[in-house]
Amino acid sequence: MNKTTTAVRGPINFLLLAATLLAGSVAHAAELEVIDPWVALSPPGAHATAAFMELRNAGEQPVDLVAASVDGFQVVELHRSIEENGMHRMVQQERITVPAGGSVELAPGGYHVMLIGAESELEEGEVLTLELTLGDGSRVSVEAPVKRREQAMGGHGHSHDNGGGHEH
Amino acid sequence: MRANRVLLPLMLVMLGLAGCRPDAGDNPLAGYQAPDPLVLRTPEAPMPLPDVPLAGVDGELRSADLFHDRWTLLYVGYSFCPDICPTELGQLSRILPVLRQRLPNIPWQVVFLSVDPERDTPAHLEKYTAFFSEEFIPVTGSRKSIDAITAAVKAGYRIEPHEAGQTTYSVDHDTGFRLIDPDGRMLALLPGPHDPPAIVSALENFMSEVTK
Repeated sequence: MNKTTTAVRGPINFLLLAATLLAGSVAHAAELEVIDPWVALSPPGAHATAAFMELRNAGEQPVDLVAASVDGFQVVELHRSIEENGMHRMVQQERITVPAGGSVELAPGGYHVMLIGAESELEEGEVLTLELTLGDGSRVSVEAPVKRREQAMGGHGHSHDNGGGHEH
Repeated sequence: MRANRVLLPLMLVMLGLAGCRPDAGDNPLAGYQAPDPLVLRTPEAPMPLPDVPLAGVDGELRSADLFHDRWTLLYVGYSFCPDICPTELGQLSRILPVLRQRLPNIPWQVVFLSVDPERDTPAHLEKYTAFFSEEFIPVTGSRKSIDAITAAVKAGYRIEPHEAGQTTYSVDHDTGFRLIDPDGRMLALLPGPHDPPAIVSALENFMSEVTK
């Protein structure tokens, strides 16, 4: 199984990634590495599920994730689960900031991309395309396999086993 | 995230029913010291649940019958929940078989109480909980019944105000697991974040000390 990352690791990758950028000579998308994106398999008839990933920013400026979209869902929002006084709340986020040279984890119980109103039931192993929009308008497109939570969270939450996403 | 230690005394105060004098004659919790209150903590005295009608997958049932003759881990949530509830129900699906293996003489069950009957019909809940475990028992009920139970076990929740017919509102809810005895009394709270092995150990300790 290969590791799914969207990274600028060389000229060929850069060309591939550049094709997904909207604008900007030093686009934030070129600095952002998306590691192990996955979507939680939801129970039958569930109205909502979530996508998770780790974002690493190799650049010298903070990068904001400001929106995400996935075909086949009515609404896609950035959210954070927070706990206050023993109560769990979900708070919609205008942006998720990845500090310069740092990383942010979108993981169960914290930041996540909330996917609402699937047009069809998700299936384990299916690969969804997540389009991430960054603060400067540039975009990154990543392939996120649908996994059962316990599989994805097995071990230390970093399974590099990505259920066979294919490059097309 | 670790539970906020500053809040712990406050929560202990909230759980210790001020003004409710434990009956020394029948208080299984008297003298029990939980080894780690961040994993399992007990009120001063058992907290009885009311007997109210609920809606289950086989129609209406009484809450007293639901808890009778079983030891229950009760979880309060809602199925629209995209992140927390699936995570917690996944934890419970791992905890239940281990509890049965370690404490085989105790009839364990897991009950999922949805506080969102507007969207969570019993038929929908049945499919939803079966995804995590065929053995989970999902229930919901009228607002009055839900509030009677959540108040009795001090499980706060808040439904985001929304227009009738709007289906994307969120619900804030308490993520503790609650241990209910076969007499329908809450004996312990297992607050989040949950670590299944720690929970099993805490319950083993509790059952050996408190139930004779």
